[in-house]
Amino acid sequence: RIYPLMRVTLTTSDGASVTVSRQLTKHSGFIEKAITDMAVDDNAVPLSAVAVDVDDATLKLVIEWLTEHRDDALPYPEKTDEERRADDIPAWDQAFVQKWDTKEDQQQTLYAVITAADKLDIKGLLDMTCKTLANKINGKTVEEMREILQLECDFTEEELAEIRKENAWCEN
Amino acid sequence: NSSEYSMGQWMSFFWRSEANEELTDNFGNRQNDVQMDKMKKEPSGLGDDDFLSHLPDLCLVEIFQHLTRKDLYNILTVSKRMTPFYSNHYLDKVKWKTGNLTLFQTERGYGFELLVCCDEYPWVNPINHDHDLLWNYSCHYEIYKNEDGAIIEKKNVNGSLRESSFSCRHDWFVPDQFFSALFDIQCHHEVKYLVIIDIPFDTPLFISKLQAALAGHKVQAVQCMKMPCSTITNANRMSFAQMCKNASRIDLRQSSYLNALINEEFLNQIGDSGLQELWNEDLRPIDAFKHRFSVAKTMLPCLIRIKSLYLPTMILDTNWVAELCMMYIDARKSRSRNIGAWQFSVDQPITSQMISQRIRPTHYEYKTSLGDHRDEQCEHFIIRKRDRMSASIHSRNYPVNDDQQLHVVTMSFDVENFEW
Repeated sequence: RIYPLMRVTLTTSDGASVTVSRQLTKHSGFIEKAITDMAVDDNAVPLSAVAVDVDDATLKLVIEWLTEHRDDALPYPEKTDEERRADDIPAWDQAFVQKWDTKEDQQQTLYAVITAADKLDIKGLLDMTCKTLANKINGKTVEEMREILQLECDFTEEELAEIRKENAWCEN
Repeated sequence: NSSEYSMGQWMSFFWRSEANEELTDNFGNRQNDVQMDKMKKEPSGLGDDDFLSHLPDLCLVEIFQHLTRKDLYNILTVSKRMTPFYSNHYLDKVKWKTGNLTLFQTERGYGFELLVCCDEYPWVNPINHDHDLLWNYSCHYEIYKNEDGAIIEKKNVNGSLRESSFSCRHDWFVPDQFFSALFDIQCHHEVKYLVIIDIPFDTPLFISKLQAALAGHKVQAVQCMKMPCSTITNANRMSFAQMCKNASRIDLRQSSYLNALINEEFLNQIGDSGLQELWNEDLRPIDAFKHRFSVAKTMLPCLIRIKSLYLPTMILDTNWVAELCMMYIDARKSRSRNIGAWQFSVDQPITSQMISQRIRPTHYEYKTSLGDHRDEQCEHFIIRKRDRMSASIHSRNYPVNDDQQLHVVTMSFDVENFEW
């Protein structure tokens, strides 16, 4: 059972506390499990504290997304193999991510939110942010990918040739 | 508030890795946390000097599953950190498109050939590409027994292993290594077209293993050529039907031993798929009669979606023919040209009266070619009034034994184009 009036205090990795409605936290598998494991019921502790391994700034973004998506259906629908399209991000979510693009540390924010969505087990947010990053990579050259992923080439020319050769018989 | 914060701290400790509990030492939590971070990163082989490295493997898989196989090929060479993801099995559903797979028996064993018709493929064969052939890369595999009885596997690219096929048969079963090689090749390659040549259909477990190896593929066309078969078991039939579940074309015209493969159960299994063409072998009437089967009327709405159906073994109730034609035309857009043809059999000879009395006169009209001829030689026409889309029906009766006949009906659908 979900008690929508119940409020949960989330304590971030940098020591801040944020109190939010259970209506939002029900989308987080991690927080729901934490509350369930504390054996809270509607007659007992109405205000519970759960530590989330996410910093304050990131948690605020997560809560902003949860507030917009508080009425989304649960459980989050399982994806079939065909449903790998990444061009179906809702308009509000696109605008939400677009806000970070004005920041210098846009990539860092995106990675931080992906990590938070993963840790907190928020499937909808994880799905949306992963699609966003996939869209950035999609169709790019190797060099462009390195730039987006902030990785440097650590192969020698011989190693690259070897990789291509190894995969030449149907990639085995 | 302080009590809540304490609880938060406690929860923070509780929710971290259980393995972490054993790492507490004189240096306290700080070292503990560093150790934990290291443990989290080691399995993926990633470092900690970039943002991507902080993402767990499953997150990376979640991201990469939205890419194409070409993107994953690029990821392969981005950096050593990314290399393992190229062959991660969670990403096997991302495939190179448009593979044309042919399985065949060779003089000494069995083989297959995959023609890749994907322009983005990085290992394009320049010779074939220059000649503007439809495919631009091919992989070949053969497994056979040498003179000492040892099993040999051969693989090559852009060559051919089929020179020696079709010449003589052997009777050893398709070995498991064949399916392993097939499984490997389909991991990253979509099989869109499948052709099977010369391999006995009833080789034990061949069809079921093939269906398992191609599970998840949406094979669009299946063609069986010269496949010997003594007995078609229902298990084989169902596995084959499952493999054809997404096919728009099933062609058995060159496999005379598979006459009995298509029956009511097969059609039920195919169900409401996108099948557009179903071709059975051009049978002698006596063979069609031997393998005849009937279908329930409730299947007609499903069957009429098939544009071209050549199945003389299927026996329908004669009284359904007029309704069948009207249902077929109703399911098509107006004035579609050359929309298809059907051949099947009926349980009683068709007569003009039988058809004319069953058409819906508000929307359809009936015509016959020559009124003085016997019904057997007549061509019947059912025409939709509003756009002149028509079905022409012709039937022939073939004696199959002393007192029985096979009544074969050929229907072709088109826009009315004949002169009276």
